[in-house]
Amino acid sequence: MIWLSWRQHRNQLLAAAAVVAALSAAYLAMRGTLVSYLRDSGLTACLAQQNEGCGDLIGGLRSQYPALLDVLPYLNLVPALAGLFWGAPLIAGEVEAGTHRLAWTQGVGRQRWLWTKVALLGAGCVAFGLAAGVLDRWFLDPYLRAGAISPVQRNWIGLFGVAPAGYALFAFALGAVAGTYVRRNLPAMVATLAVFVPVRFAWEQIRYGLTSPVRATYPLDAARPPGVGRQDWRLDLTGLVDRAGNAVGPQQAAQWCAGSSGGDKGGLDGCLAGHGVQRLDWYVPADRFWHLQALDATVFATLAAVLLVVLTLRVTRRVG
Amino acid sequence: MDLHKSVPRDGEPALATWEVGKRYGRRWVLAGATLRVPTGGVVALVGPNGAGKTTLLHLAVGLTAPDAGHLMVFGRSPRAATARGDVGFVAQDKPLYRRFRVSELLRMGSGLNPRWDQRYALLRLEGLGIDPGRRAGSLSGGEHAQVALTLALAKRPRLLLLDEPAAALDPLARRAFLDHVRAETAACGITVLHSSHDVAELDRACDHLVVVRRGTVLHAGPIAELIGAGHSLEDFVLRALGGDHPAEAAA
Repeated sequence: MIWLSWRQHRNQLLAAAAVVAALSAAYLAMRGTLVSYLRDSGLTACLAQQNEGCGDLIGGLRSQYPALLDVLPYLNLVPALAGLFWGAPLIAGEVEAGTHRLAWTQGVGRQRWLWTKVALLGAGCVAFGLAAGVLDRWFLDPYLRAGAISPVQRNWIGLFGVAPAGYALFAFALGAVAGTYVRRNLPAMVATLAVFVPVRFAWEQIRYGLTSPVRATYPLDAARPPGVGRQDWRLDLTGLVDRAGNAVGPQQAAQWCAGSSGGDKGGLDGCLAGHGVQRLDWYVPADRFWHLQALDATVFATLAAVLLVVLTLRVTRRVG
Repeated sequence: MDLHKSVPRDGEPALATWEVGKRYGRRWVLAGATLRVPTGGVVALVGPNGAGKTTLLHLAVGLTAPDAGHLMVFGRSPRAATARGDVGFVAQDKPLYRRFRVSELLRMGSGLNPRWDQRYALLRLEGLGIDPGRRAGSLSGGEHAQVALTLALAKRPRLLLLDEPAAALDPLARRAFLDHVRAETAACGITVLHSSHDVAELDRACDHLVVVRRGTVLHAGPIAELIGAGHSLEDFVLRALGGDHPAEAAA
């Protein structure tokens, strides 16, 4: 059964290896530019000296590959490939070709047939997922060091660490289950994508609701909350609060300081500061990285486990 | 209609079914099917298209489970018997992994079946002139069917189930194929149950008959008992099936 699994799925595994190799090559080709910019522009030295500033130099780093940071978050969808090309055809491909009547009439139970394949391809999901996590982290390291992106940032954290392995396992199990219902390759692939993508997008919203960001208040004239580092992710949910911690809306602000606006920003800030108004900010500390990673991996591995139970029941009881 | 009881009870039957039913959606394709297939026989399962022949074979090999009644293969559940390598099955479309070489299909068979006979498989293919190095997808229809049959035979099953085994072959190859099956299974004492809707080919391929129509077993028993001396098997089957045939749609 191990040989059969390997024989049937080796091309799929080799294709995944080719994808990872292509990504590595692209990263390798681009990373040199980033590293030498970091060194030659003086950005490394600037970062070493101070927590603030260096903004122009960071902008310069971003402009090395202008659209790259907009494009790379789409790598979050790469684990879907495990669902499309490994999961969906697992059952649907056999049933569509009629070969399930060959495979399931041999002297080996369906459960063993299924789980040998799940073990092989599941191990592939974990291996390639971890490889992608290491690879992405390595390539993006210059951006992370400069604080251009944060390792705990929405749409980025899923590229690193153990999270991609969790997504890949989920996608694979999802595709396999879809194949037991749809029973044809292409529709099963479409169904897999139609579930994976919304779930994955929704999770980017849900994740930070499950681990509350840190609330920080600080004076209006400070650039960032004290103690918030370059690696931390600020949620851009800034607002104003009074001494008691209540939100101060624009109307309230206008009421207090109507006279001192007049285009004079310093005057307005001074007036508001006089009323005890502070800036409110939310941020996710970078040292929560592994905590969040564990959360992602646990949630998606659990979803995968549930789907694999459904898959086993479907294959041993229903399909055929 | 209790002819199936006249099947000699020579020990445990290869296949026994009791009031077996199977439905797809709300349509029962098999209902109340009861029969015994004695060990060692070559049994033809005949009936018009849609009579439930394929469903019965799928139930016997454990591909599907019955919705009513139950069935036993050598005293075990069909799945258990199949998992022990007791049942060989060639589906109607004779599925093979098309990208596999024939030798790889044999390797699959040897890995998955406890009593696999590799020597037999290679000799059989050699006798048929089929090179094990070829891809399954490149075989002709006849070669394809022969490779599928080789996979089923080399398992050394005790019960061989063939669904329309000769359907894809031209009339000449058909006769040769059925003679082949007959000779090889007789030599090993394998019980064979094969379905067919071609009444003309029955005489050379079976000694027992099961006639099904609209999901029920009409007749089952040794051919010699079912038809009296001097009558032809073909006439018997046509008469049995012909009750309200061809006006079946009127029912």
